[in-house]
Amino acid sequence: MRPRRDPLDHPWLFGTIAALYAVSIPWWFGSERPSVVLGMPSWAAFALLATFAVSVLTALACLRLWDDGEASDGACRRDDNAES
Amino acid sequence: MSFGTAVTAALAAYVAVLAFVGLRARAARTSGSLADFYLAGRRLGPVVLAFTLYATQYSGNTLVGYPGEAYRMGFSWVMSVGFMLAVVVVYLVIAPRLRAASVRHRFVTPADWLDARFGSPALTRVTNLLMAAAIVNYLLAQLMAMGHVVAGLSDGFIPYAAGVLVLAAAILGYELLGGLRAVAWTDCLQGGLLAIGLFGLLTATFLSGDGLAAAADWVLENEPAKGFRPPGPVLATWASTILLIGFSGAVYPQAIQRVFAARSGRSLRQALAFMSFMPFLTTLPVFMVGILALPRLAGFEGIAADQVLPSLLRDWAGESPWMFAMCLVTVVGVIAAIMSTADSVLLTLSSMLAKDLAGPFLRWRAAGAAVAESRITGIGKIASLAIMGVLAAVALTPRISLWGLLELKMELLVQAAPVFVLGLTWSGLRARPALAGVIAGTLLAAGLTLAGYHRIAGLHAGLLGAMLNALVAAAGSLAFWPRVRAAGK
Repeated sequence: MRPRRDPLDHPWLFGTIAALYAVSIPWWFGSERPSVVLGMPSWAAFALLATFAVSVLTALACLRLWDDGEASDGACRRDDNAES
Repeated sequence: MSFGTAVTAALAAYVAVLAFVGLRARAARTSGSLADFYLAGRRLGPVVLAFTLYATQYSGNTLVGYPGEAYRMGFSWVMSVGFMLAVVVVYLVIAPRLRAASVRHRFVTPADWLDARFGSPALTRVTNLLMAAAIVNYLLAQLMAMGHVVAGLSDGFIPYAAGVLVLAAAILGYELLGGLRAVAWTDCLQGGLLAIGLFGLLTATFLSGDGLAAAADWVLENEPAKGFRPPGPVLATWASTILLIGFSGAVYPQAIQRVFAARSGRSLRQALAFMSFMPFLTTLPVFMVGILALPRLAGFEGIAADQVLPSLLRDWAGESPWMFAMCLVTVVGVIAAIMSTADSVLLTLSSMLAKDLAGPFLRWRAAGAAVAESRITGIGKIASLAIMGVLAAVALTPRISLWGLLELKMELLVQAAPVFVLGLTWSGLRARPALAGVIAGTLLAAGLTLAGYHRIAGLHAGLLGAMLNALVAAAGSLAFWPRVRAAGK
């Protein structure tokens, strides 16, 4: 069973999310004393900003790149309450 | 009125409201079927679904354990925002197809999907056992958190044991009355309280006069290891934790059941879009509280990680009447969050025992004749009572920190992830290699953990197990692949 539109049909989406996660981990910051940005060390603030970008992308993908093909907001109302 | 007395009164009022919600949910039931009791008749709309997913995913571990971890690890605990979000990212991979299959096959438990996808009783049983073992651990962590928070925040007015027993009884009460309907409605209440509580926490933070920037300067000056860029092994653990929590959090059976319980695909999509931002409104504030505790609690040597939040709240509550009120709301919000996770886990465990274990046995005894679903639902209620009784007894003798319990749970749960992720995204995955993968991964993860190797080169034992698991499943299935393709032609 596949939905009509599936986020998995968009490899760029998961590539971008993986890249954002990769840069959110501060491998590439120096080990000297960091400056304070947004109330935290610069590497931590950058990690938060990259993670926020992942949030926005994920929410957009949920709303725009996924379509179940369920007809309406009552598609799952078929009665399955009858006892077997 | 002392803070401890106020906490006790607020909790009593809260438990009374929960009982009322349980009674209303009982009145709203439409039948005694499994879908009505365990999936609220598959009629959860976007708002209730979003709140119940939120209240299920964010728990006592988040609110009590995470400030303690931020206090212990410093700014590198900012990773918690990313790993809680990773759960939603993995949902983006599995939920669309899981939802589509559930609409067609009317699943009630995750085992129903396993049966429909693989048709292998052995794989279904092993994966189910793994998930049940992991969430039993999780439920135990919630019960312990209830006891710790109530005892810590009521200034000992309510002892640890009484906190565990009274709140466990309250959860059992409304759950037995209304099933998932009661759980989801109380989750809305609990999610709302949690939001107010976190707002209270942030207000308390700002009104206490400690700025985050001042705390950052203090940390860089006095505890540089917690403020400078983390060393290599911590960075490896950071990446490992994102993968571990992302994949294991997405296969929580109670969360999978909410995919089945959604009224429509649109409700589910909107709820998950809402969940994408919740790490910033939940994990981030509790991380900040842990950081603010560093200068604040600097003079107290040896404070336990689980006691960081209670210590801060007691401290802030004494500063002004406004702070007193905000801290009180926060306490109730925290306890609500813990209870909301515990009730979901208990209901899911009960459904797994009743439908996946007792159901087939009853049908076998009836020699293939139909067994009334209301009878299986009744067995599930008895299972809820038994599970809660045993775990509450175990929780009365706690020996491990909350984060420790959470980690053990994740090591096990992540072994179920390859079956779901590969099974939903790759039609070539076969049952036998998948089962071999689950067994190999679980043995590796459990072996390393029992031998004391919780991490190797910063990578969690559970993640290493899951990598082996996926490799065995994929390689074994590829070996079968030419035969499968030939059969298809």
